[in-house]
Amino acid sequence: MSVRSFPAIAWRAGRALALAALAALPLALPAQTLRFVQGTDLDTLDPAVTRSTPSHIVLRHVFNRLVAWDGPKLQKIVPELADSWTLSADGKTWTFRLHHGVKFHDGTPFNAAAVKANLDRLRDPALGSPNRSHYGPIESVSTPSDDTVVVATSQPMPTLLEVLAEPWSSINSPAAIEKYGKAYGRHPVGTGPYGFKSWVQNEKVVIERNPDYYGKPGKPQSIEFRPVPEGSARVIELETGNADVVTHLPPESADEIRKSGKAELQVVPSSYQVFFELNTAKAPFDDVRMRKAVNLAIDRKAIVEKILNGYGKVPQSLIPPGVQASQSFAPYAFDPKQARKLIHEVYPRGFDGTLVLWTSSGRYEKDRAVAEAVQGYLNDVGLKTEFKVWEWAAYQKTLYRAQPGGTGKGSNDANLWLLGTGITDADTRLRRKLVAGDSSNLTGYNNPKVEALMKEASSEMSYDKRIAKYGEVQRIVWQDAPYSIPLFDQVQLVGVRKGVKGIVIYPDEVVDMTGATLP
Amino acid sequence: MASSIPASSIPDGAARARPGFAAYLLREGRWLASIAALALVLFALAAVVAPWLYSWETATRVQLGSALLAPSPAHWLGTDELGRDLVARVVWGARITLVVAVSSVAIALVAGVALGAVCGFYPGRASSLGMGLVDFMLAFPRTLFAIMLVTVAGNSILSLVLAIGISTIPVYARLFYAPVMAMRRREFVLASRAIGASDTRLLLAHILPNLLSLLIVQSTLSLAEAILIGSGLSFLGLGPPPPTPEWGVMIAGSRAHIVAHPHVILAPGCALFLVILSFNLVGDALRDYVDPRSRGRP
Repeated sequence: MSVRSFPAIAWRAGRALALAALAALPLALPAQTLRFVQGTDLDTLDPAVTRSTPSHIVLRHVFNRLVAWDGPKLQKIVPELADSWTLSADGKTWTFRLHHGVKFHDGTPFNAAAVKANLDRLRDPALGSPNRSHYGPIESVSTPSDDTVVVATSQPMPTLLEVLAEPWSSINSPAAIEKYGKAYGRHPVGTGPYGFKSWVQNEKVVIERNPDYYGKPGKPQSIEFRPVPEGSARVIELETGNADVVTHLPPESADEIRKSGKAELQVVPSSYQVFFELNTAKAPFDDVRMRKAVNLAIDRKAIVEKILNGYGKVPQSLIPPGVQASQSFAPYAFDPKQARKLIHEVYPRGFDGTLVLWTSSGRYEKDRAVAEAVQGYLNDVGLKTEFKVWEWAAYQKTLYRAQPGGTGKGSNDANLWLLGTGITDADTRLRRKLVAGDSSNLTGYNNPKVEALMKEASSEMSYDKRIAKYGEVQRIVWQDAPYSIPLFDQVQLVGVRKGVKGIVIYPDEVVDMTGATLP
Repeated sequence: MASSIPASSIPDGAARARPGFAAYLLREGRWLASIAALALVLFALAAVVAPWLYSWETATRVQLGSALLAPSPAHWLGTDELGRDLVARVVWGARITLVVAVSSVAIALVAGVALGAVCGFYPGRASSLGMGLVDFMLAFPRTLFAIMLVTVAGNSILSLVLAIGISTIPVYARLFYAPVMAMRRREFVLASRAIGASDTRLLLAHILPNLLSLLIVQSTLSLAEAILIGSGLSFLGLGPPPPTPEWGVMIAGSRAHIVAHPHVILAPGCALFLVILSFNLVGDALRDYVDPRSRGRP
């Protein structure tokens, strides 16, 4: 070996190493982190308290529930933290056998006591969970042994498994709840495939793979969730490769994303339906003919095609297809003549009041433009309107504020207001809107037939018979006595960066990225 | 800008002795300003005759069947996402914009000039306090003030007018304070006082008429600013509710279509741009016209 060749070799080797390192760096680093972008920031990460989808998406990765749905089709409930369960002959006592050897991210063992602590916490009025009413029939939770939980209900509770599969039934570490107290919503601790790492408000949430996960481990090393409120800005995030998964893409950008070749556009059915609720407690919508009339006045097909660019569906029932107990009836016809006739029947000289119409802006797909179109259709059949656009947080607060008189809600100041729901559990979805006295029944809807059917369903243990009752409720509300103007079923537009695989999108807009692989 | 005119340089009664502004523009060959002035006349004309050109119905009625049409002979500027003719909406928007701008500037002008003139005419502790208040208002963010007002009074053209008007008061108060203070010691004022004229008469008949040119220039610029702020607030959702064809609201609504259907955002956007540019160009020309030192300059 010549004297000069050594440095040359060393230099070459060094260069090769450096190149290899350089080549490996950009490949290795992004492969670690999956970047998820959605439209809104989270309210809280305490599963018992939140009712917003953006939070549920994070929670899905950090927590487990006792039972879960088998997949996006929601066909069957399968074991998760509970290995098996049995139901007593009288239908009032459930016994769950728990999975062994599971630990929370903070090291606390998962056992019967932890499950009891969670269910008791949810049912405690002191917590003030908006989901507490779902657990109403539960009388007591007991722990005969370390791996057995017994749930006793006051009456047969056919919905128990469905409730336990909801995100708010996620099992939290009792030690962490104790430790953080009121701040628990910012330090969630579960048993899931990912552990919570950090949350900077309005910036990002980071979760990291749990190396000790008892089930199938997650694939990405960590997942980052960022809120980007502006639709067109989300498109840019996707097109510049700044995000791997982007939800709620604006329909008008669909073609642009397809053409860009940088991402794949997934069009997924959604359980979300957007509607105007009608104040049935005061004129003019206290008369069912007026409620039918406004339903006939709206051209939903035009709304879907023109405003949503075709990314939406004309509703065929209160529950969209693909969701539990969904029915399909004939869509409402667009028949302004008939609408005018009905209005004339009720108000021969025309309704001389002004309909107060409220809408959010940016919460649901094109909500404000759709509301404007509805306003136009109502004007076309001779109804005067007053339009108000709300900011989402204030809107929610006002609508759900208890108020004496009328519907007993802040919604009493309006005649119709735009909302949407994506709840996949038929019982919850119908009960909260249609049963008199429920805290989410903003319209004052009160129909003895619906009331009776919902009561029967609440203790009907045969799944098929129970689902049939929900079907009948939908038929009555759809054909005989509407409480709202269903406008469209949402369609999810999710952009996935080229080469990213294994993203599972649920109809309730929750995205499961546990099995995702990056290019 | 306009506040740079030293009041002392304005000769008494000068404004009355000059040729008309239009003649001045042509004689000086200020073509850009002439075109801008013409644009403003057209803008004002459109605003006035809007109801005769297009019915309110045409400007607001939703017709999804004809949504997002490209410009054509039937719709010169095309249609928006709810199928409404954009020419009709821009013309009606001009009317609303003009109403908002003129009434908000009128509020600011009356209140601001009164405050500034009184404080300038009677210097003392109360006047310092008054001007302190004006400084406080100047420092207060306009958007925040508008949000507060809209929260209390609700979304409407009136709230918009009040928000812009009240937040523009300090501009006029500051502008008139110093010239009035300087002018109250001028010989012609002292002479009037000597023959027994009251303070009110001194202010209204002798001092303020001499500051008229100042007022005209500032108002032109304030109108441009009021239009910009008004459409900005509307863009943020603090303006009149739909289906009112306000330019800012129209821009906000059509943002989503900027790539696929740019004409929807260009129609109100260009209208806004041209009107504000015209007001500024005319304002500049007016300032040169009333400022004697710039007369005869090319």
